[in-house]
Amino acid sequence: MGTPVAEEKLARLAHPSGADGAPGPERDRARFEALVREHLDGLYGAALRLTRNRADAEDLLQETLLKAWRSFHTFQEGTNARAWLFRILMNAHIDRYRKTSREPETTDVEDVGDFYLYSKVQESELLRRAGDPEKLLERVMEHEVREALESLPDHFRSVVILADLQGFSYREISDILGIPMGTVMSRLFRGRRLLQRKLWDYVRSHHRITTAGEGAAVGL
Amino acid sequence: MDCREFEAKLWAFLDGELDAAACAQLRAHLEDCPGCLDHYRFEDALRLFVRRCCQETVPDALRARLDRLLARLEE
Repeated sequence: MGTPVAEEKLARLAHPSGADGAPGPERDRARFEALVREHLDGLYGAALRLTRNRADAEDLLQETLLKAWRSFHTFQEGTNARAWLFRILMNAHIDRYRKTSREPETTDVEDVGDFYLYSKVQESELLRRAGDPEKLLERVMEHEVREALESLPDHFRSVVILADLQGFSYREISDILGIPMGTVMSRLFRGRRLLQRKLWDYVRSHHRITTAGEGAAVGL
Repeated sequence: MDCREFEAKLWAFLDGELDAAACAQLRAHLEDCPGCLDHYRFEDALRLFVRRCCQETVPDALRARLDRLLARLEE
């Protein structure tokens, strides 16, 4: 029982023009293009949140595709293509980030408890009376959510992007970033707490909630 | 399972990272506890909201640039 790659090489020896009639290298290119197209929007979304601006995101995406193409021969058909592409994206981002950042990112951000946003909503009697907790979120602007995410320190942000935006499992994120599962979880949970704290700031300002003395006024 | 235990596992539950037995325990708790059900719905909605806000489509100009890049790739 050969590996998929070995089998494919055998198939190519038997049919030098490739199964679909195209020459071998052309077929590789076609497979690569199909793979890239399938995941392009996801990669771009992640690149935007990582770099925090369009020009850098476009460069990062282009670099990712070039690097992916260069190592495409090492990619095994039937393995996790999306995780493979995101690993290349993340590594390219880390390389660029190390080159461009002058000072280390501070991580001594004040931490809060789990489920910060929900507990804040529960604390405010008036907010609760204002209706469904989910309704609160509708008043937070989409661009504010993006800003909140982009405000997280890089290594928390990376994990939140992979888990919450891209839906990767802890195991996949561990492989993509080359960090242990325990680190994935601690960074993810801390990242979420920081994100919730930031979102609460927006909720509070939109609902004009004053926390002092729970004299909360809900300006709807 | 009490509410504390439920909260301790809520994120892993939402992430689909718990085994079948643990999921069954959490679901059973959700059926008995309106407070935790409310909380569960909130966290679920929050995550979907964040994901929706961050959804992106590659702009046409960039797509054209990447198409040119793909066409130029050397073997």
